[in-house]
Amino acid sequence: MKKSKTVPLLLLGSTALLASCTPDQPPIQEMRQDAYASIEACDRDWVDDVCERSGSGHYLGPRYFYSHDNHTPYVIDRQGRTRPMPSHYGAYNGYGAGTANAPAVSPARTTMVTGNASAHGSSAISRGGFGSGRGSFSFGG
Amino acid sequence: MRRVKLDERANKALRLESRGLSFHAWDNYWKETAAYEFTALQVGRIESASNELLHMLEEAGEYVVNNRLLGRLGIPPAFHDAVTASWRNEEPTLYGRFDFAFDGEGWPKLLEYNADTPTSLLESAVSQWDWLEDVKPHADQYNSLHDRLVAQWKTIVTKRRPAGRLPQRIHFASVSDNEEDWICVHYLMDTAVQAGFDVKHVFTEGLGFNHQTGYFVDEDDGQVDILFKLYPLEWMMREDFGVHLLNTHTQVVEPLWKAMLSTKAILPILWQLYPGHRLLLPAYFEHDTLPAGFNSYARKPLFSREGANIALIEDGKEIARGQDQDYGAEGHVLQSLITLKAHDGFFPVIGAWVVGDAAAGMCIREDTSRITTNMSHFVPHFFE
Repeated sequence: MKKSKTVPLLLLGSTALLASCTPDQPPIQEMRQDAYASIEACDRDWVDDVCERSGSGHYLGPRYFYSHDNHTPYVIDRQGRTRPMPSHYGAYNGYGAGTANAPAVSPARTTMVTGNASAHGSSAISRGGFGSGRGSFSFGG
Repeated sequence: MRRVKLDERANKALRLESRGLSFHAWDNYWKETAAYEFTALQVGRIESASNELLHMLEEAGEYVVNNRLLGRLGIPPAFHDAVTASWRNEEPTLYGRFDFAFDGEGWPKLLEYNADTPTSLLESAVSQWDWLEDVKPHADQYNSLHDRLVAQWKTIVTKRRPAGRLPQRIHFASVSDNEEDWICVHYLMDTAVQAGFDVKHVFTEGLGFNHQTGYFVDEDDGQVDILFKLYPLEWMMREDFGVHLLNTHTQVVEPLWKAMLSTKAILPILWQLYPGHRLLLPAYFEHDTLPAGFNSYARKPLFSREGANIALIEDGKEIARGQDQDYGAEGHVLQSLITLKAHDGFFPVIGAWVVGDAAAGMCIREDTSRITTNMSHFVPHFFE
């Protein structure tokens, strides 16, 4: 059962490694999502993307972001696929002029920043990561 | 099995910290004024119990998938197909830990299976081994964790991949502002380096997803071929970013199928498949029809961790309750109450490690409370 005399460690115990664990952050862009009071208002803005009811009772459109590289707004569907936002979508209005300004917010919806996104060439990278479900508790076992 | 009182090493703090265990003094977490002594027969029983339970869980996983019981296990419907595919594809696992009630007599009884994010790893694999070398150099310890972890990384990287196209880098993710998790993950990075791989740490909050390639990316937009994440699968599935788990080419460790086994709901499933098994305690879903006289039990939320929101009921009356951390929305299971034997006023719980598909060692945590939590003390062990 005893496999070795001393357990070798190459990384741990190195003060150089323990000293820093915060990487430089790349430029990021805001990921947005709109909340609506009614499913009708949500469907009107997002046309062929499915709106979903949130836990707080609002209706959520898909997430979207503006790519500074391509000067194009992108929408991310429920399966995680990204595509350029069609110009007849409600949220396109604020982006359609090729600016990075926030979209015009109609009285029927509230725009939330849900994370960060960046675009690389023709590929879009969503940012946001995992951690929102963590609360203030640890979870090791 | 007995608790033996011992003197601390004069250089205890230096020994522990020089090997990376920076948090040993938090709430007197690492305790070496005592150790647990076992016989070879007892250790053999813990080892064989672990291997047998792994086989039983394989049967249970097959039963769950074939009978479409993933919803009953608390897995969100959007992930049922992905979890099933992960199971069918036999995506490789790194590790897990059974928690056993055991007093040295008879067989260990399974309390729960930490299949997804077990911690206490550096102290199990390295710190208690160092302690053995220093304090009990002629004794032995049930501990092949380190060597098995190094070997298992090779399996994880090579399984189902053509030999000429093996990733060279493994990414390791832990949450920010948590030193204990950071240390645990960096120990695993150490084992991957010893297996011959390049490693990189990323905070879970800093992960991105490349929609064009279908891979997760690190903070520098580097492609993540293999991601070890010390973050619960059930939380990932419920967060907005979790949708990317459904269509990613990134190999995630632990794999998605581990979500079936890391929920307490697997306990009544096991009992249903193996009623009366010597390694199991009777367990039921809370709203099932219970046997007559079943009024002493542990009420456990499906996804509770570190003893949170667990209540111990004896003869219909609550006798202990874990910290409230809002677990329980997905339901509860009831597991027959077992009376742990106290040693000098402490209740020990055996953590039996498995790596890949084999038993790999053990650790012991003890507490004056009957519910083991993250405040419990880690105590080394040995056998002659």
